[in-house]
Amino acid sequence: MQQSREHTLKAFDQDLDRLRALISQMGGLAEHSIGEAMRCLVQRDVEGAARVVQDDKKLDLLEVETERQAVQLIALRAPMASDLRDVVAALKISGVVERIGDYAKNIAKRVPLLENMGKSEPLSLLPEMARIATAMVHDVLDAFVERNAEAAVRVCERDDAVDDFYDSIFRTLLTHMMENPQSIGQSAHLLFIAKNLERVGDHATNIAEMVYYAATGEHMTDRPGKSGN
Amino acid sequence: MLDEATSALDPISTAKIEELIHELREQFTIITVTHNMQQAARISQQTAFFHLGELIELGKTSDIFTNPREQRTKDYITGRFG
Repeated sequence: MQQSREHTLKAFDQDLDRLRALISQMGGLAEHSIGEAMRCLVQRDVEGAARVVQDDKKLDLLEVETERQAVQLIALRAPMASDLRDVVAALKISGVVERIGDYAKNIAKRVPLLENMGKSEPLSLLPEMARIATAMVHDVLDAFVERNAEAAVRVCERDDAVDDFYDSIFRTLLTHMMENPQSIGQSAHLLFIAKNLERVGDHATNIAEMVYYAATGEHMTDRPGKSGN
Repeated sequence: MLDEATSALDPISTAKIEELIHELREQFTIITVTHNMQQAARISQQTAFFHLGELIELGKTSDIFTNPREQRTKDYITGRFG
């Protein structure tokens, strides 16, 4: 759903654009962090991983700034209808994206602990899992900026692929740990990483529901033709 | 100086006047008096709250409407008049 007209008070549009820009900026940082954390994991780049951990502070600061701007916008503009839903969605989305950044930090923290790990099948699956999950985050935040409800729905439909990856990695790691007890420590870290990526996919679907509500005023679960999930 | 400049106007006309005020403030210092708190929040950069002739609080509009210092200001803007 597109907004057809600008506000008569142009400053109101500028405030809303600024809020959306903050969300886009947060999303870009979070996606980059996950990509970097995975690269550092695969390449055993301990220094790079330390930078990912440090960079998480930027995301935390952006969340605080987004909250400040959203509260100010509500106080000063008294937004109604779709404007109000947009602002509330931005507030909630910023918290979720900050959480996604935390997952990237958690992955990066495990890189030094896996520095000496040999090649493993689960490790080779994780980058593709991460790619799908971060693409979901990218697309759902684009859907928010564009107020595109249908694009949000399509993001939700991709979460099954992330879940399937997690199930596959879980089974593989379980088998590996039973056959190689000395690998339990490192396998556990890989399992946590896979779980973090699975949660990123879940958070992208949560954001999609917020985007859908902001764009349409209806809840995604109530839309016609939605099958049970 | 504008004293209740839009109090008799419909919302569309009010918005157009407020947009004009927003443009004019680049060149002029503008003081408005209004009983409409939302208007004060929309158009001003500084807001002064007066009660019975007494200046209660003066500050950045964003601070006044999100985190006022004075209890009487808090009570007034949150509708606790009694």
